Amino acid sequence: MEFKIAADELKKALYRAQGIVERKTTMPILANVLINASKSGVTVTAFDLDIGIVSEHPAEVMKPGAVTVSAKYVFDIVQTAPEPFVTLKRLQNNYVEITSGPSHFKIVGMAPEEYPKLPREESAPLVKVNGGVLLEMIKKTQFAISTDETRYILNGVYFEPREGGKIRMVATDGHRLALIERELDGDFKLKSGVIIPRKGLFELKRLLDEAPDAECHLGFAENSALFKKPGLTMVMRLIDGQFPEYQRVIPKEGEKQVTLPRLRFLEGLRRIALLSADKSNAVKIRLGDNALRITSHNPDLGEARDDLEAVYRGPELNIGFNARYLTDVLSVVDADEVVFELGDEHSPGVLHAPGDRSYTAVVMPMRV
Amino acid sequence: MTLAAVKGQHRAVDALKAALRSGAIHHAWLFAGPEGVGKELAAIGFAQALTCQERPGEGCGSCASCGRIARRNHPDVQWVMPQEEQIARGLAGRSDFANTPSRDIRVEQIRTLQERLALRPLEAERKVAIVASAHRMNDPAQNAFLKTLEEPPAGTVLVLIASAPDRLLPTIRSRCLRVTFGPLPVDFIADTIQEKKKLDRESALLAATMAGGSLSAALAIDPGELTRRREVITAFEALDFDDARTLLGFAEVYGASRDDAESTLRILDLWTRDVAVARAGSDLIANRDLAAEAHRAAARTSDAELQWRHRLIGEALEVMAERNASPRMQLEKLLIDLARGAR
Repeated sequence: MEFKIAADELKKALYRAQGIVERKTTMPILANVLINASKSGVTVTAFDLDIGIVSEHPAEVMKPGAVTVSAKYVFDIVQTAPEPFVTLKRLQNNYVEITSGPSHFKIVGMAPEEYPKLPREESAPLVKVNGGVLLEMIKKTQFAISTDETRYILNGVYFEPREGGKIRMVATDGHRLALIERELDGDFKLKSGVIIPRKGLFELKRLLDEAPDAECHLGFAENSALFKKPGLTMVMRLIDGQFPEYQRVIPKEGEKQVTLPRLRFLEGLRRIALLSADKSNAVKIRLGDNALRITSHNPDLGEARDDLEAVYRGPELNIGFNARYLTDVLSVVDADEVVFELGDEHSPGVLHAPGDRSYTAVVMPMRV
Repeated sequence: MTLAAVKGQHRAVDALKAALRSGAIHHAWLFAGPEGVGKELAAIGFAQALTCQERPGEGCGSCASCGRIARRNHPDVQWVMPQEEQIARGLAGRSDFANTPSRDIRVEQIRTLQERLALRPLEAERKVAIVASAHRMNDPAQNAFLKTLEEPPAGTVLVLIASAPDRLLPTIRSRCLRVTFGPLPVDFIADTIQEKKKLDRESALLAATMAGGSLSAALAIDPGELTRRREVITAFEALDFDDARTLLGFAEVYGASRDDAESTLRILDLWTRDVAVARAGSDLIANRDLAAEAHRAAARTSDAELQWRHRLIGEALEVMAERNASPRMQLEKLLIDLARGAR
């Protein structure tokens, strides 16, 4: 392997790698990046067992080949390179020679065969997707992902193909659930749904945020999801296991329905939650004739209430909620009004935009 | 490197092979036994057998997958160990950790493992997690780990390696299939170190006996240590327990550093055992070259005294290992306690 590359280009790749490679690992190879030179250019791979990033870079390749070297040291070396170009050459015993003008480094590397085998594009049929829609789906579900490691099945978002080229993403932590269904044209060739872990999803969100209009592709291999945008591929390992039957927790149409101005409801909850007890964010909601009242009561601080006008006629209902679970949803709904469906004081509440259940959130009530 | 590379542990290896042949692999294993007798080697061999595609159920030891397991570079075979051990093995540097590296396996490490075990395997059909020094898991870590032992993700095999299995919660032990590793035969250790360290036969046998069945302990003994041992024992036997100055002098000379003091204590512990062995009329004396001296010491020391000495040394070693005790003071305390008993 031998190639010449602009120092800035390589620096960019290695900088990104710094955020991924692990130094305090029990697996020595994970502190390294895999550098692969072929006729079409150079790729740099960084992987931490959860997510992997492969970036592509133009370079003048004299001799194709691959090697793995410490991400940290090569980054430091390239960063201080005296000339705008550096040459990397693999020597015997996996040593790598880095040359830039008058400076020479000979760095210990490892055989490329030692590096974990990430799934290749051929094994994951890539589908062109609308990055904006994918981003929307992530933003509207990720907050509901469970952080309880012992319920690892819930530590990610369920990605489920539906009829008509639609994709559903569902996240739940057992107290609340968020579900969104959108069209992501194309066939992912998935036999059933897969679970994308939180960490991979956050990284995906970051990449989509960086360049929302870039052309992007998504695909699934046996054990991973692949996301590709120009110059960069990300691999996210999938969670092993069966996502629970989430449909069962989504109530049929609630007997009590109230339509509320979204922002007004959101702000009201935020204000009243200021006085709720430390972690629970508990607030009480009273639904009565054409009015919704939010109250909280804290023996150490005092009490608060907020009244909203609401179109409602029916029996009165008193119910408690974790305000945070409601505000998480209300702050991402794209509508001026939301429909809040309720049953009795023990039944979950459901939120969605008027006349549109393609984005639905379910929140369990709490005893207050 | 496969299970075949594990020498002198026929019972343990046979148990593992039988399980592999039957194909019904229990999800959690406890490899229990002294340090340096091949538990880790067996864990590597077991992981290879579980994942090898060339020779499934046996492990070929030579394919890319087996090789990477042996070098701890296989993505589906995870290792967990205390941070301090990561540093001692050269896997990480002190500066890689924000705080003082822990001697325990902490709950965060177990959580990370749990997150990773939840993922689908990357290359193999199965996932293996090897917890080296599992007895170093602190209480929160053990409690967190219980969940994984109760409901392991599909296709996961957990191997806990412990030289002090009693420190594991009973609930952890009861969920693991236990494989006991015994001390290695003296001849096997002597042969190995004679070849590896180019020792003469007598020194090799001496080091092997002193190591108490642990190959790693035998390898760690350097020839200088053998000479020092003689010095420590001679000086100890020459102590006048009525003269505090000689006691403090001994502690000063042989407890100068933590390593020194620990080595001194181990030498004295083994010596105490030898004297007891001599009293019992046996000639299985570890310090072979000092057999005559051991018999002389046996004649002037009572059984009760030896028992008490053994207990005090054990306590001192434990205090040194568990807490940051001053090595010299530990030796002083030991000798003063011994002097009280001698009177």
